Amino acid sequence: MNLEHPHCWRTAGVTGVLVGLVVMSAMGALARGEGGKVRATASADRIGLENTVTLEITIEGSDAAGAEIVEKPSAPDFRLVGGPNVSTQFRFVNGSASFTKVITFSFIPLKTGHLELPSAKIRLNGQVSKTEPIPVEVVAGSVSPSSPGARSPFGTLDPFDSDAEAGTPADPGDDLLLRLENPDHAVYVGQPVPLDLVLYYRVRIGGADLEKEGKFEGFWVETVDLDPRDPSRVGRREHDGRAYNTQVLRRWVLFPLRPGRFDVDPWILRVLVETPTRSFFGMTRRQVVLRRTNSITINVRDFPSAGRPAVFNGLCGRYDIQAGLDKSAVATGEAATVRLTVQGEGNLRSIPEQRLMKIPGCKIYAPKVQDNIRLEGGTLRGSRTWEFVVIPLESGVFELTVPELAYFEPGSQSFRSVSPPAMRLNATGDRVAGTGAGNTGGVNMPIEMKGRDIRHIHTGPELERTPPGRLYRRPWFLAIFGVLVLVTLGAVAVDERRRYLQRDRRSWARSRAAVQARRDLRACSALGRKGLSADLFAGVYRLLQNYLQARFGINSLELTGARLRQVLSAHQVGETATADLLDIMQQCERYRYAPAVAETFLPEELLARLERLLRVMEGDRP
Amino acid sequence: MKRTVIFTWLILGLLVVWVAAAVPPETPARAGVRLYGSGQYDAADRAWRQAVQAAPGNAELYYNLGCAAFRRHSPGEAMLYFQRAIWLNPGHTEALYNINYINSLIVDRVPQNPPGVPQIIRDVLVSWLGVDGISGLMLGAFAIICFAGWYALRVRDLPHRRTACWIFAVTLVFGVASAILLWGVVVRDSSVSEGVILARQQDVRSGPSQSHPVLFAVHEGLVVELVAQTEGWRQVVLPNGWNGWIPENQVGVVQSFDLPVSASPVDAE
Repeated sequence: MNLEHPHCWRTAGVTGVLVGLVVMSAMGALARGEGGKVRATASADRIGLENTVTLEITIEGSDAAGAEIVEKPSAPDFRLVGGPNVSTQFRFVNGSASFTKVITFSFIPLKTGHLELPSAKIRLNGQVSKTEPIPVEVVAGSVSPSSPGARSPFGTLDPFDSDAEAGTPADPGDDLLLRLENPDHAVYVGQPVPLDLVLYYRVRIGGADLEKEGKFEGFWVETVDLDPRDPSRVGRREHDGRAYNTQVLRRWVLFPLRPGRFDVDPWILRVLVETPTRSFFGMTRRQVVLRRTNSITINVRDFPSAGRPAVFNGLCGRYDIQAGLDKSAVATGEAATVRLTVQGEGNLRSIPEQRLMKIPGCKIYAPKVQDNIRLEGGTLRGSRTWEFVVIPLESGVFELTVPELAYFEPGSQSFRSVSPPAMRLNATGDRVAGTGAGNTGGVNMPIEMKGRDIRHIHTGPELERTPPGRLYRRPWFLAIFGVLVLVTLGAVAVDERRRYLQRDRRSWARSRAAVQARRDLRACSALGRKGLSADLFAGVYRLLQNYLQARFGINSLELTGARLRQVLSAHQVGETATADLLDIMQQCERYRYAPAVAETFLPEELLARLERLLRVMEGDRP
Repeated sequence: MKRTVIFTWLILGLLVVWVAAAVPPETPARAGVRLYGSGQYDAADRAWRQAVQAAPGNAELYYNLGCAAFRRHSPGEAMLYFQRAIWLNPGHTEALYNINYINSLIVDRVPQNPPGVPQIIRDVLVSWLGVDGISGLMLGAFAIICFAGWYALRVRDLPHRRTACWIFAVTLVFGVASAILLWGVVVRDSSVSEGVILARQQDVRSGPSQSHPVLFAVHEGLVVELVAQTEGWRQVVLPNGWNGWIPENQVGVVQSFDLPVSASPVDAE
């Protein structure tokens, strides 16, 4: 319909109005409707063991919308693999309306024979009703559906679909198969078994999803990563004389772990099948169907006992072994590396740990293992490498040998053994102390320098610092030395002076007396310049009194002529000086109370005599 | 409206000025680090040369210059800079490491007289303490000597006086030792002058002119002693005692702040 044309718009509007009227009439009819009825049907009455069967429970009536499952159907002969899938539809035919609810369950048979699809319990209008079991014949393999299946009460929504009356599309049957394929059904333990999961189809496939994954009990499984863009995954093959499109969904390589017969667990796939209709709009009908893989049995045989080597430990495939030393001569204590490589095809991951035979005087460390294994051509190929570090502890020629590797080759069905030639390691030098020969289990590896270079640049803040120069070249450095010397010498001098003075108090007092006498003499001279006066005589007398007390320890109370002569004589002061001292003191004693009497007395003469006297008493000559 | 726009532009301008003032400019030393990290060794050399002119006594800058010279495949220049870093900072272990490494690469192998015990002690102590450390040690010892001497003279009671005398004696030993050490450093700094051959190969002549006969040839990176200098020529003495004259521009002086004119050595003769 071309909606751009005005005539088409008018037609669509009229159709809409009619549809609205029909819906309103149907709602009224529903309101007058009666109770529902329950009916169970099977999609086929004869199926193969590889097919699925659908149990369809249809509830019709005005109350069908409220129907619900009370108990899911279950039976020992079938496995429920899908459902319940519920759909409801309202139909208005010839003026009468009906409401239908369809509940479907999918089952796969577990054995062949005349079996019964289980019944289901439905609650409708508060009452529980049970459907009748449906007989189904199950045969081996896959069969086409014997009946076209129940007609769907829904048909299609396409009003122009001439196939609408055909109901639910029929199961594709043999047009859609899921198969597990392997070329060998009889293998030896450890022999690789390639296995493919292949979808065979002659119908249009909208999509597929795994419903159930099978298990491979008794096998070591390696899963091959399939490239989705690999064109070899899809192709055309013949099966039972019919040509199919095929697609490999999964690929494995199985390695049997023990002898026996092993049934591979089935895989179940949910496939969306698209069936083109003769619709005016070219619409397709879509249907989800389940497919189960065929049952396959793999017979795993044990290895023959005849000719089995003593060192054989179940390795199957084809292998080769190589060994080499990185250097043939070393110094004692220096490490050499033995590289042992097993390469070939088979289950390389099951190769037992290799070792070097113990040698006295040689230390063998635990190996480092490296794998280079890949899945290729339906088996594992590649290599596994062991690296042993060997350190001779004493000089000599050491013969390094590797134990024999035995394996079973399924192609020739015979046992084979391989071993590399012995390696000679020549060690020279003195004996090295060690923990003894043999595998220590340690992982100490000597490190070696692989290259040398200069140290890296400095990037810290010291780059931008301006160094002040040598410390000893700075002026204040020398100045500190000078200051230290001066301070120390000054402190020592002060201390020595003080100590000296404290050592001789009399000397100190004498020294102090002379200083004080000179000071007092200057004061008296100042008085003398003013002329004769009582103050001058009193000052001179006091000067002498203080001087004698300080210099000779003569107290003023014992200041008599006899005492003075005695003391001054003891201090080796001359008679003349003593007489002069007494004369001056008497004159001063006399004239200080009557200075007017001493008119002929000159103060300069008095002071000069006094100065001479002090000099004499201090030891100087006048 | 117009006033608002002008005010906004003014604020934005002030903001830009403030941000520009807050971001410190990249110093030549930092620029050298950045350029060295990006593999531009010539540019790093130029940046550090600029930095070293501002701070001629910075041992770290000479160390970095040596690294850049080594990356520019100029082991002679690198050796010169590393030696100069050692001269400025005798305890520069990484410069010592690089010198040893370059010694393993250079062509000339000149047997050297093993150093005497005093020289070994001096070098070990100088590298451990540094020249300034020795100076400080000497100053501190002298201060303690002064104090202990003064106290020994002042104190009267015997135990204190004896303690002071012990302190005085021990610090006197330290002070004298550090003074001798410092004296050795000063003498070495002032008297010994070393140089590094910068030319890939350089003929050594018997006199300071091209007319003198060639005695032997030396190669880049060899450390020699410089004993005399005339116009454009220097007299060098090898560690084994051989001596001769080479052009002045083909040898770099360690105890100097002058930088070689050419960043990459030039084949001579």
